Amino acid sequence: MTVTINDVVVILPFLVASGGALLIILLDSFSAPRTPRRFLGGFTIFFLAVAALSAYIVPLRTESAFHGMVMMDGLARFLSVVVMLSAGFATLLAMDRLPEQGSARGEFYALLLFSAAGASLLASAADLVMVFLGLETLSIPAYAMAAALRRDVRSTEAGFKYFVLGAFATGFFLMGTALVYSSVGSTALGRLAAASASGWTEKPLLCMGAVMLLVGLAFKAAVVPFHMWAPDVYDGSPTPATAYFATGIKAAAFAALLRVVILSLPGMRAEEINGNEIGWHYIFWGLAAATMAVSSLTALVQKDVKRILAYSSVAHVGYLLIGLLAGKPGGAAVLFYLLVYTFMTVGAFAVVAYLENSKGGTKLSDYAGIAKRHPYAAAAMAVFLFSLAGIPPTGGFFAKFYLFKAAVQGGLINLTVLGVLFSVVSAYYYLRIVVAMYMEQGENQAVIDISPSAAVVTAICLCLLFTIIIGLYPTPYLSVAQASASMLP
Amino acid sequence: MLSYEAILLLIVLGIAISVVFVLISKFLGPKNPNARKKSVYECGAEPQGSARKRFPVKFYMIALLFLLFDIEAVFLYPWAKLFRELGFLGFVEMGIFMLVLIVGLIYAWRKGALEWE
Amino acid sequence: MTDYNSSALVVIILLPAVGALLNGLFGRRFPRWLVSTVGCASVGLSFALAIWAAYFVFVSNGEERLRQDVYSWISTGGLSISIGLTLDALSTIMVLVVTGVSFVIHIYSIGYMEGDPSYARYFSYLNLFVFSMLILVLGDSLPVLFVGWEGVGLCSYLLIGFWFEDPAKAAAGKKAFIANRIGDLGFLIGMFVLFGFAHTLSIDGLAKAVASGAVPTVWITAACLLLFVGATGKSAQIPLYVWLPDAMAGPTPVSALIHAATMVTAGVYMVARLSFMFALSPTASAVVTLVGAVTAFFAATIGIAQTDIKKVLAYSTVSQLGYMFIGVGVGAYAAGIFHLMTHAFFKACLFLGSGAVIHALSGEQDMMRMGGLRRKMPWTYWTFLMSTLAISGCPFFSGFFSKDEILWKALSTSSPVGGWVHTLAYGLGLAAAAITAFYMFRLVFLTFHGESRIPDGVHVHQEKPVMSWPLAVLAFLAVVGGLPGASMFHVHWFEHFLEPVVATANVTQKGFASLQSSEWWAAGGSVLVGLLGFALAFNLYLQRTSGPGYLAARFKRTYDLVKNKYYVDEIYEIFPIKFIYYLALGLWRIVDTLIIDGLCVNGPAYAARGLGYIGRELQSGNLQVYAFWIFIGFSTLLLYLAHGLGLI
Repeated sequence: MTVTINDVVVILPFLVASGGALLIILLDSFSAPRTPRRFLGGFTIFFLAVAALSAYIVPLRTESAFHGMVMMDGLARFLSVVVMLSAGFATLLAMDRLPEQGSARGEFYALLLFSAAGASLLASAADLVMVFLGLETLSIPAYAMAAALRRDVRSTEAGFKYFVLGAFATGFFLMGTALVYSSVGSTALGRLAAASASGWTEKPLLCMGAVMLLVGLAFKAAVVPFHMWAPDVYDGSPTPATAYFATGIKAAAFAALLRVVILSLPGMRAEEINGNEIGWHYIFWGLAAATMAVSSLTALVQKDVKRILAYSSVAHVGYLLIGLLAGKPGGAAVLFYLLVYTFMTVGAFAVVAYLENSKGGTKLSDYAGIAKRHPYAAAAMAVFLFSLAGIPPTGGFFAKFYLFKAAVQGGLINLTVLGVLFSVVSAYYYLRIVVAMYMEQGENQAVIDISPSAAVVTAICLCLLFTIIIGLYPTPYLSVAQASASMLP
Repeated sequence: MLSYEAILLLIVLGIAISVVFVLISKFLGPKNPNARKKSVYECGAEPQGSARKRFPVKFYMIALLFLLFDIEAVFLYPWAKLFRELGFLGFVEMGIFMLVLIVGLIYAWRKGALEWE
Repeated sequence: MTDYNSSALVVIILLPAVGALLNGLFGRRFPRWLVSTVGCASVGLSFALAIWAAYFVFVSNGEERLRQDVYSWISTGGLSISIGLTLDALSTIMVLVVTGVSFVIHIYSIGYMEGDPSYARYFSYLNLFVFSMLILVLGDSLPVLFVGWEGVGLCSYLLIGFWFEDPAKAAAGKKAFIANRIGDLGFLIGMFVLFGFAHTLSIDGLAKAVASGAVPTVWITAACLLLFVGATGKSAQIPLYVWLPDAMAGPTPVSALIHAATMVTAGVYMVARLSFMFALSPTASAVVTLVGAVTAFFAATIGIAQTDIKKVLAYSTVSQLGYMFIGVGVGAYAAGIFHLMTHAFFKACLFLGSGAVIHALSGEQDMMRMGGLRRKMPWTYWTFLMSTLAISGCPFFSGFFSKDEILWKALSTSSPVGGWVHTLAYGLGLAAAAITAFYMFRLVFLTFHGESRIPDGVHVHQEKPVMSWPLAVLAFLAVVGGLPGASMFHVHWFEHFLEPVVATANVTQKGFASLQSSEWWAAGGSVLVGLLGFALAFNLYLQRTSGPGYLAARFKRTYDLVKNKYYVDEIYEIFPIKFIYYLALGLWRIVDTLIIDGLCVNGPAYAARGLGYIGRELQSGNLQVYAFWIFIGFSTLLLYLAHGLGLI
């Protein structure tokens, strides 16, 4: 048993983030109870930045470290950075918004760092055990973050629901790991790929295990019908946490889906047996269609902006699932999509955070006529919503464009048509918010009184900048995503 | 599937033995019930009120902390046994493990989780 | 031709954009002096930088050009759109004219817009216009050119409707926008045709593709004609010219800059830029020539009977643009661009002069309520007179050289389509020259000479220096601007400078073309008809002031016809507009409301909403139900696999 420096370097982002979390716990412990905890946000952003940088400065190591447990390839690197970005934005929102909403405690930042560390570990896992470890390190702090507003009934409810259902889904994942191990005799992802390459139809235990792994990960990614927690949790959690759940955790879940299902069980893609066609291809087809349909249609009748955005984030999972099926260009499109999606979704939630206060203020009716009182916030929101709807010249347009292009190249014509169809449906509920902001008269003008919040404004501006820049000039971001997805089959 | 037969056998045997013991005591044991005998037995003390009432959260906090450091102790035993074989690397790894838990302890202490009142 | 990379080009473009952003975002909080400084300095710096960049092109006599690849916007698979800028001889002329004239007009605007509450918005729009126009002339591919093309259209719309509180002015803005959109449709289809054959839209790429014969001649003609439809919209030619006279609703400096000197010449620039295609298509060139000639004559006749000082100048602009199209139509691309340049000088000066008059009379535009302003506004009068002499073709003024160059080229060449094309264009052009001299001197006499007809109580303001100096600069250019191309004195500098970038037209020289004396005779002819126009105006409006009324009564029908602009607006009102209106009404009532809204839109929408309600019911908030759904999902997947594997 030896550990070399090379091994340590591979998990550097994880080490930096979790080390930072420990330091923040200590700082929080030894600060006077009445000291505002805003300064911890600064530390958090610093550690996230160092973690993201460390992911980029270490040389890529596609052979795995720690005796085959973790590796640092393009996928891990790209998604680690996306997660750190998402967590960084969530920190900015938390610095202004949490004290406002009655939680002035410092744990939130430590939890965020721990969760980001887990996501980074998940992205670089090379073994089912490490996937599980990353998944849990990612999730458990998230349950606590959802319940950060301890005196708010909806926040505690969100935390509780997330925890119970998360534990339920984790059970599936663990059972799946056990079944796969019993069938293959190893939990290393590389060995799985070899074992599933041929004759998997003869191994019912492997099949059952794989399905259970899929259920566990699909829960984290909020794929229909494992998504039911998402709207309630996104709605009830404090908005900074929601922004992170909807982007960072989603990116990590897709990292795991790519690693475990697409990369490690490629053999199970599609097979014809006894005249039945089975395999991932058909399963993902159904899941993607169901996800897009259920979320888009349910979003139509929501009356709360946060809930609409929650369903929207589920709908985007549907589009991303299409990309998973489309081979290497699809993988690159998924990575690019996750990056753009992070900017526009965090941006939208940041505007929500900017406009809400301790009394709420996330109802669609609260947004009526907001353009008159807060023209800049409304304009930013409109840009994010247009981007989410995929209207050029925003980043969201190119994200969808490349995704559907890859899908068409991959022969997924029917699914692409469905995807475009439901994007049209989605434009309706996005535009409903824009219509409320710009064309309706506000009824209860007093609900939204805003206190100055420099950090939230910074987050909004940064997201706006990138949403527009990527829309105007997507090439460099796309080529990074393409390079990162080069190991995909 | 053959290798799982032993597990199945174990499950069946476990269930069978417990069922058999319950049945034996039911049929063989003498039964002379009176009021005192039918009351709930709890370490000799008189039960007061319902058991389904809310406990102060402090109990849970102490229980969680106990669990945490109990597990730590469980890890320490095998490490102590294999200390020489694991060498310096093992020492460092255990140090990190302890460090993380100590940070947790400090947090619990500073936040007042260890104070009963 | 040699290329040099230069990153100065993008700075030339971006400076006005920065000015527009600053004034647009923060202008309301700026003090006025800062708004004017930002507005003028951004264009001024851009002009200075343009001179510096143009120097390189000038010293090489147009043989070298500056290039810059700004960025490649999309490059994926078969689609690659990159944005590049090119400063060659043609764009050098355009950039200098655009930034130079803009700079002068920005300065003038400080005085003209002094009292306006939307001062910052005005400068922001004006800078935005310069930005778009520079994209148009520097873009190295049709899509980039089109971005500028649309951008200047947008700014024009914003500035025509600048005082949008007045519904008539807002309507004029809309009219301009719609007429331009019709043209743009042609432009777009033309681009698609070219892309379909050449698989590229960069100008260099198109030139190569056309030279290699990748585009069949009939499709070159089609593309040229479609692009020319776009030009008739932007450059106000028959049949889409109707928006330009109405565009006079905007502030006068805007009329000078956008609707006389720069934007409306975009169509001429486009034809010259794509001369390698037009030269290969005699049919398209003949169409351009004829449309230009008819427009030149037709618009000039309307100018005779207008009494609104700006309307006269507007029809004069339409007419002069017609000349430029004759030039580029008969293959004299350099002559067309030359006239574009001189016209920018003298017409900008005329508009600014009329603006000074309007400003002095507190908004009065009717010439019948002017007169005798010569003494009160000497600066304006003398500069206006210089420019009038230039536009009327008085010898040795700039317009004389450029207009005669065009007429001479029309006279001395013959189109492959038929000899009559160029001869007819020459005839109409010559007639238009006489009419131009007539209506321009009519304008001068009515405004500046004779008895004052200004109503009592209107106080005539003196010109402000900030408005006088731009007039002087432009008048000076209007006088001497023709010297670089004084071909009858053997100065062919302008023609040679543009030679490397414009094509040689497919026309035959007539026998007398090489004789120096015949060019002199032709010039003499134009001067003669100009004098005729002048004499008539002198006679009617200075000597026998009862003359016009008598003539109007004597030829009442003709007079009414001309006065009412040949009823073209009314005819358009009946045929395309009312027709389309009722067609649209029918489509809306039947197809849209019943079929599309009812069946195709609302139907699925209600269905979707119904499904949405079901989805919302499932989302009950009950934890056990959620867990149950996870289990259902898992079981379904498991059953599917088990079934597929044949286990059940």
